[in-house]
Amino acid sequence: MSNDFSINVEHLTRVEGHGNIELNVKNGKIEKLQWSVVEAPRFFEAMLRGQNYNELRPITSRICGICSIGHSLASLKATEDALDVKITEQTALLRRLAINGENMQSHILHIGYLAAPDLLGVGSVFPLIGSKHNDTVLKIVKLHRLANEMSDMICGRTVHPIRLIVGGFSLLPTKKQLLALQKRLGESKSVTKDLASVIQSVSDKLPNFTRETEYIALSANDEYAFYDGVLNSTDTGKFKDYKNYQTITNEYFVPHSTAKHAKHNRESYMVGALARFNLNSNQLHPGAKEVAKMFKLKAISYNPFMNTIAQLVEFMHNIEDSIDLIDTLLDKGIKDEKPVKAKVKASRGVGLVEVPRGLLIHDYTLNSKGYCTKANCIIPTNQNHANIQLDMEKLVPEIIDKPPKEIELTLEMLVRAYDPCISCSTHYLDVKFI
Amino acid sequence: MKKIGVIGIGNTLRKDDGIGIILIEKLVEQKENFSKQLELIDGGTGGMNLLHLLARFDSVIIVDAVNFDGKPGETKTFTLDEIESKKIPVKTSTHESDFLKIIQLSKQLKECPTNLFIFGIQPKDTSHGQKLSSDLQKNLQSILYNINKEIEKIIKQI
Repeated sequence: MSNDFSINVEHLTRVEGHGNIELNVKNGKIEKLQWSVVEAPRFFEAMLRGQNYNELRPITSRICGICSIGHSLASLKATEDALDVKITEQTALLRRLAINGENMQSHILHIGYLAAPDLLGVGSVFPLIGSKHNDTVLKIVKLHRLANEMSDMICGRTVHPIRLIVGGFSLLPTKKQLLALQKRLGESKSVTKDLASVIQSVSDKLPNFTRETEYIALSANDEYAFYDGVLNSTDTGKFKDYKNYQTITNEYFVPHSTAKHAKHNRESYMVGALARFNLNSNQLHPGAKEVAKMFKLKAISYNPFMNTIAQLVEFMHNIEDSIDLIDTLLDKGIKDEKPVKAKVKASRGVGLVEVPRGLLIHDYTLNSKGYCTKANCIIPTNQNHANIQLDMEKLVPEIIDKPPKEIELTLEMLVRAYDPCISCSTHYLDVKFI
Repeated sequence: MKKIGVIGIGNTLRKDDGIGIILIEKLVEQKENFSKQLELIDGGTGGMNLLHLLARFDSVIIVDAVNFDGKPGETKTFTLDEIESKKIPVKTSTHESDFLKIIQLSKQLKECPTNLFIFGIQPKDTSHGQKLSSDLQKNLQSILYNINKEIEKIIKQI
């Protein structure tokens, strides 16, 4: 290995948005190692100011094409918290089904299209078609399609939902639709298990790296928390004062990055599937526990590369949980409920949900006419940036004797393991005639 | 009956980037004028989800902001061949879901629509904001007229 080398990964591929990795090594010593986010800052909070409370959910659902259901639910919870809207049991069950659908959509996208190519030794999912892994690609597409259609059925659209509104749903799924969905979910369990076996067969490619850190996620008494729960930390335990969430998230700016960073009990913390697994794994459904066992994944796992495996575990959990939710909904019978009405008043509300990449918080202040005067959104990926940086600082000295190309790939895999969503809003067809 | 999908793509929080979605909303208002074989879809910034949408139709018209060095508000229809043969890099979002790669995957899975067109609208400003630029706002009626004509033409063609 050369004593001097540099690695510059600009606009890391297979992550959502633009992030750079920079490593300079001189005389075998690290001179610079930096994970930086170079996206233009987002202005969504400013867009929410001056909007009526009914408009906040549709606007925030456009922040991200992948977490649009999660943003919708965090937004609704914040609005309903401010206006004392108590949703019905049926609405809560359907929202749980919606969040399961989104988690499945996002996780299979990451596992199948973004992370699996690293494990199978190819640059993207495309060379896998027609190869010996063709069947695996078909399974991934099948599972992704099911998750999409599930979101479509519950929320009225695959992305940017329309049926989720303040106080309930604008349109409810029918018994027939729910039964058909439940049947497909049941069938998808074996497909998921097959996919897990393929990933397991190449899981030795996941670096055996650990770094102790703090994990933060929501936890609930009676379920593996996604829709509802209290803030929980592997370092400091439960924190019930949700309106003072800033005590936990402590966002701050760093000079090299346009994204905010966060820290709590240590210099950094991690949110996402691995954080949820580390805090709540005993509440997983049996099939999900089996998947975790296949990979010997046990809480607390300090290996960030296992986040992808925790996503696979959660995918199975979401399937099993959705089957149970549909059973409960059908047992009780779908009632033609109208959304609970909000009484407008000056107030502040906070909504917390677990979205695919981790803890998402919306915080709104409304005036006496129901218009938003202040908004704050805490995005999961921003909470992970500091943790990615510190992981890199421990990882590089451990692999510094490897060829630079291998170091580069390992660093890329590390960032991809976090499944970061750096920029959720930029979208633009750029056609250049060459 | 052959199914035709008109899929708007874009982000309404980024000014002219949302033109594809705004046009779909306008077309939905006049949907009684269209044949039942035609479905109007707000695809948002769904990225890879486009793969599954394509699988549902025999023919697809993608409606999106496209930078083809035209005047703001100018429209142009591209066939897939035009885009593929000129090796034009077409990105549908920053979500690493390169449009041509989605098409490639769709073809490999043998579920790509037989006919695929992109109705492009030249944007002026795709910075953050919920309103279209004044150039596009001013031209909205003519853009709507053009897309209606284009849908009519494409239906006759296929």
